Amino acid sequence: MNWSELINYETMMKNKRELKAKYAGRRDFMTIKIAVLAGATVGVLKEFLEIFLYQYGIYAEFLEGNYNRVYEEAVFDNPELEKFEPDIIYIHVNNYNLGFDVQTEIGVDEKYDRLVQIWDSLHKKYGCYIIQNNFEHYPYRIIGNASRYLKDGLIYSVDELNRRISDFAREHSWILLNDLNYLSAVTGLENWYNDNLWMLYKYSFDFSVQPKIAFNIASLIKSAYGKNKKTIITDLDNTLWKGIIGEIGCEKIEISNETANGEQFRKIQSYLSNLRRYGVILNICSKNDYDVGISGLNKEESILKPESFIVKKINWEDKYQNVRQILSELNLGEEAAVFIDDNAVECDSVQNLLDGVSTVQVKNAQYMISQMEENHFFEIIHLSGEDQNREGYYQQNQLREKEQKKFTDYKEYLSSLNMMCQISGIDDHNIERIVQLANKTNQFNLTNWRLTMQDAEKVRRNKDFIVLSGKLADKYGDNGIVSVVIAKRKEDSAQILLWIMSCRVFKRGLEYVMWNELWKECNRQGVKTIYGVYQESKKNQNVKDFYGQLGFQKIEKNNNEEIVWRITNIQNLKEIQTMIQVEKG
Amino acid sequence: MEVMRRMEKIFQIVFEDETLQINESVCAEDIENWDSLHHVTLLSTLEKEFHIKFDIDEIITMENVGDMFTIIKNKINV
Repeated sequence: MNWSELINYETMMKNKRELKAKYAGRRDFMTIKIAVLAGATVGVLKEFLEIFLYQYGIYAEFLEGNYNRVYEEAVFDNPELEKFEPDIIYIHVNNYNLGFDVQTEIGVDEKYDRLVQIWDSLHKKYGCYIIQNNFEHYPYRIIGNASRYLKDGLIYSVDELNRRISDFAREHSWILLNDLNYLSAVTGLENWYNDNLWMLYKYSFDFSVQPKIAFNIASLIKSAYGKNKKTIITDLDNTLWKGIIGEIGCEKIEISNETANGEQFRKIQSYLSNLRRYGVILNICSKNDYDVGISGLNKEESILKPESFIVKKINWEDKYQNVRQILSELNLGEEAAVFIDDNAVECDSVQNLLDGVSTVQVKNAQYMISQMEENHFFEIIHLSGEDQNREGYYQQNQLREKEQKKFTDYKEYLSSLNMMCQISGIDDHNIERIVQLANKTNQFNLTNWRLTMQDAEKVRRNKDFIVLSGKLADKYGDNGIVSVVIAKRKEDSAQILLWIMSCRVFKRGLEYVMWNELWKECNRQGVKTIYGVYQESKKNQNVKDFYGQLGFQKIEKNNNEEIVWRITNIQNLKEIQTMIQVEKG
Repeated sequence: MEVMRRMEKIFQIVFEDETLQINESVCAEDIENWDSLHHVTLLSTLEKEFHIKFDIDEIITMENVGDMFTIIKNKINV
């Protein structure tokens, strides 16, 4: 079953019990703590949210505030919430909480100021993500169309309040905006509200829309934890254009606005092309002769061109093998990919053989975009330079690989790259990137500490933490921050709590640069012994003996699969030579 | 009895118990999880199943399965 089917209330009700049983007790799941400040009854929303988070490998633990005490619980002392240490605070309010007095500029000012007070206070105290709903329109307008433009109109007032919330969210990365206004528009206000449920039980929405809202919130959470999809692998025939190019020829495929079908496929191309702007990498997996497939994309009317795609597997191999090959070339895991194809058999085989890949079967081109939307694959909560440059990184990597083939000696190749590493600590500019990297790095991740914003803030403020963040650049471009080490000092020893490196820069020697910098910094601070922790996961087997390579001795294995290594007398260590020039930031 | 059978199915889904059986005299005290949260879920799910909407007065006065049955029957017969 596809997760998006659960946005139907009846489907959710019929399947939830089975899903809860299926996903109980998974050891590879992470748990995040969600506090709900409730302007209304939370009820089923909590249960549905819990279920939608399963697909991202997340368990939710909840703390539910008292009904209608949002302001008090946020602004005044709240020992219960402090003790809970939330990773996320969800403020559960909607149009009903606006009451009937919003329709003046003063009304909007008051409501907005109160929200800002709530956010600031929560942020200061808990430093975690805050999910804030914006507001739906009222189901009535009172004065008709002018309600949209007169300053005391109901529609104007809600729009104005939402605009201010949006502005705040854009400027503060810890606010995650849950766009109820959009969801209610898609649903239709007539089906959104249920006055009986509000009047009797203080439920804000009709039950039929609760799963939709839960999925929307779940997608914000997975995005904050680095679990967005990163790449699309798409078919060509009847997916990017109408027709089978190998049979009817390049001339006859429909791809322009001249035919209804052509326009439909252009719309799909435009949709995918827009995703590229936000760092989503496009690839092709199509059963065709290479030149024939490419000729379709070279048509003038085609929005997507051959160079819009990073890896192009246009051949007659099994698709699942091509998909596996594409992911390996991109150095991405199955969970990062969405596979799009019009053929049910191809979709099934990819789904069955590559468990983590999500598939979208384009049965009918007119529904393709809504299929993509319903799955919330790409929830870009904040657009970082990192995201926008992603395609460039992969293109650079392809150039590096080409370059590498010219060398027989790998060292010579590395030396030809002119690599430069800049080492800094943790600060305002890089804190978000550090959290992002800690949450999405799976392979070179020794301790599997899924650092939250809150953790990162603590680390930054406490002088006992040694933080090294490494940027790597070479003649092809700047990769940005790709490795982070965090250690905590205690008297004359230090313990490594986090050590991660992006798969984008494997086999370049950066891990040794980080190690050199770590022990030298430890030395400066009078540390004599360093403890390294290895926390085993499904994906970090390749660094199982990494500490050993550096000269650590294995000392113990805790019962929770944690292996502790130790290295003593670090003052006697010698620098490991690399091909990277180091600069301290 | 078609209506009663469909109601029973909804009860089974809402209370997550496939063996649950209902009759007209069953009320909140008879089913272990029948608290206010489940009550609202039950009403909402019945509304979806029968494509009806309960009125506030009906919700306030209904006391057992029999009351629900009568209200639903009247609504779908109209």
